[in-house]
Amino acid sequence: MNDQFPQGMPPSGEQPSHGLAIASLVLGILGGSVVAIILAVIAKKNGNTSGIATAGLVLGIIGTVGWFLLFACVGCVGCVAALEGL
Amino acid sequence: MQPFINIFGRDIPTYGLLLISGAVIGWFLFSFLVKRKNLINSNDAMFVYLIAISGAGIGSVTLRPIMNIIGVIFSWENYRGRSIIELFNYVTGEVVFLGGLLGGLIAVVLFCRYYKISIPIVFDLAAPAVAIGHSIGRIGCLLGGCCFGMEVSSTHPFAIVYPTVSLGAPAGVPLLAVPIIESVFLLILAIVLTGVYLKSHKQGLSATGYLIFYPIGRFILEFFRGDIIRGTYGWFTTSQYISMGLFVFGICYCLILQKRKLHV
Repeated sequence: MNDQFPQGMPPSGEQPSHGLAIASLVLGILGGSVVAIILAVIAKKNGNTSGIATAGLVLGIIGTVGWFLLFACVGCVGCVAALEGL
Repeated sequence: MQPFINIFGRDIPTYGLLLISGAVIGWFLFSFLVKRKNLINSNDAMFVYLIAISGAGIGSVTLRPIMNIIGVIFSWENYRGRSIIELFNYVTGEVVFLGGLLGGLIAVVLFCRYYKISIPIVFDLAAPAVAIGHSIGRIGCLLGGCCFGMEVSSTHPFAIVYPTVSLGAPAGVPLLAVPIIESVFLLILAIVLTGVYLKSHKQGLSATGYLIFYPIGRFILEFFRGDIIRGTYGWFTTSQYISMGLFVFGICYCLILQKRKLHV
C-alpha cells in the first residue's frame, strides 16, 4: 500500500517514482541487469503500480538470468587462463 | 564433468544453470516460510528477495576483482611490464559465492533499514533459503570443475576423477569431492534451519545458526581445496578470512539481538 496516497493514486494521476520505473524499463530493454531489478523494486515499493515498473522488473530478471547462463564460469575460464598466462 | 549442457543448439554453462535453479528453489522455500508464520508482508518479502538476489549478483562478480586488484597493488613488482589487457583479464572474472553473500547482506540491510522492514525477521527467513540455494549451486561447481578438492589416492572413498573436459580441475587425477561434501553439508544445514525457524518462537535462531555454522564448515573445507589459485594470503585463503569475519558477525549479531531483547 502506498502510505503517501492511501487510495493508491495521487490526485494528479502520476504514479510515484515514475522516473525510476522508466529507468528500470530502459535498462531492462537494453539488456536487462540487476540495476533494472533494483530500480523496479524501489519504484514498486514506493507505490508505483504501473505496468512500466513491472515490465522493467521482468526484463531485468530475464536479462540477469541470461547473463548468468551465458557468462557464469566463462569468467572462471578467463581467470584461470589469464593466470596461466601471467 | 559436465561444464556445459547443450540446450537448443547452444552450450549453456551448467554452473550458471544450477546457480539460477538454486535461486529459484531458495525463493520457493523463502515464500513457504513467509506464508507459514506471516511475520512479514508477502509483497515486502518478494521485494527483499529480489534486492538480495541483485545485491548477490553484484557482490559475486566484484569480490574477486577487488581482491585481485589489492593483490596486484601489493605485489606490483610481479606485474610490472604486463599489458593493460593482461592485467584486466587477471583482475576480472569469476563468480564467487562469498562475494554474493556479502553483496546480498549489504543490499538487504540497506533496503530494510530504508523501508523499515524488520531485519531479524528477514535474516531468519533468508538463512534456510540461502543454504539450500547454495547447496544446489555447489552441484554446479562439481559439474563445472571450477572448484575442486585436493589430490587424494584413487582408493579414497570420497575421490572423484574429472575427465578431460572441465573448467579448472586437472583431468584424470583423483580429487577429494569437496563440492559434494559442501553441498550435503549445506543441505543438512538448510533442513535444520528450516526446522528451527518453524518450531522456534525465538527470533534470530535461524540466522545465527547459519552465520555461525556455515563459516565453520567453510573454513574447515577450505583446507581440503585443491584450487588455491583463488587466493591465499599468509596462512589462510580469502574464503577463510571471510568465513572468520562472518563467524564474528554472527556472534555480534547474536549478542546485539540479546541486548535489544529481540532475541536469541
